[in-house]
Amino acid sequence: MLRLLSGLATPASGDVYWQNTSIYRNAQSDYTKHMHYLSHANGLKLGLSVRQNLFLFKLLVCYEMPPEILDEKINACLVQFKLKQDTHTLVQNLSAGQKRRLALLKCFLFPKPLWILDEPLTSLDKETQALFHLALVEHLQKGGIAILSLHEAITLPNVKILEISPC
Amino acid sequence: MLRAFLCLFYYECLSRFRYLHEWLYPFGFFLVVMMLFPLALTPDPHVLQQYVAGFFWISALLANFLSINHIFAADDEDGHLEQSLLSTLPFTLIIIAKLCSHWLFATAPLILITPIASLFFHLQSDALIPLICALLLGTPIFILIGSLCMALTQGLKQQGALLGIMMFILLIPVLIFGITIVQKAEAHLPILGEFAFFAGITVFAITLLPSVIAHTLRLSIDD
Repeated sequence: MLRLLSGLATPASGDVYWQNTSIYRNAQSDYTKHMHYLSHANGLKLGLSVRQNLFLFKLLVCYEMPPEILDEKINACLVQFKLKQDTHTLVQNLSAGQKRRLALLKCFLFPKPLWILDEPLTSLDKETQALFHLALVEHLQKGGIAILSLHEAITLPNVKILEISPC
Repeated sequence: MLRAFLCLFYYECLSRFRYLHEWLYPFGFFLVVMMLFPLALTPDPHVLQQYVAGFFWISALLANFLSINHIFAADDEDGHLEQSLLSTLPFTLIIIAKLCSHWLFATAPLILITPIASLFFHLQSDALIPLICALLLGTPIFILIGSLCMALTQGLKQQGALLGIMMFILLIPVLIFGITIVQKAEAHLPILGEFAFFAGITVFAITLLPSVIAHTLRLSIDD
């Protein structure tokens, strides 16, 4: 279902709406430029280093920012996620937890209103899960939307529970 | 847009360079297949000279088949293809960058080694330049049609044989044109007509196929 919402899979019937327009109406990039999508696979290029992956991702989301500010931001995020010492390591040499942290880091580095994350907390330790929780709360407070699939329960402030009935 | 393309091309080349199987194995395979022909047929130079055009083109075709197999596989596995699909940049641009870097790494070494290999097969020196130019025009078509077949079979589990059948049949005209050009050059006949037509096919393929490949990949990844 997350693939359907992100526009990667097309439904047999029905529609997906973003800001009152069907996402299939205009070019797909009009919708995806507001979105971060993370699947089970991390979405990283294994042959590149951590830093090169971040720059490649910046290119893919067409994020414009002066280089010095970007560098500062990247360094701050890397320190926060404990990846600073691995800045120039090839992604294929990172552990599963580190790869997941890098994939999540991309979401926090480039702010977008919509997050669609498929089991973001796999292979993460308690500290990083807490970090993610904080960032998620901040994102929601700024008016963002997050669609997650999780195996463990998380508590969020001011939350309304919707029960979707099976059809 | 051009800057984005150059950056993408740079990152693709960087990530290809780190894997030996991207550029060394097709190159080695090309040389091995080339060496098999005189071993299997005869080392007599007069006989070899007649068929050398065919040897070059078949070896290039097989080496290309070997390398094209994993053009999208690595990116599909680690999820990068999905991220590219969801990117704000046009997906066709990303595909073009990937195809260009693939050509550079998988096929350019073959073309560079052609002068040296032609010495072993006693290719006439008149026919060397036409052979190199024909390979330069023909190898992009190999890669484009190979990528199209890969994009069509991307989601399937068993793709090897189906892929081979599709690819080789579609590339037969390219093979025939390429071999005819070299054979005519050896016989000192005019080749400009064939070259023009061949170049026309290449330009046609380069113009249309990248967007077709991008669209096909999008459909293959869609479940």
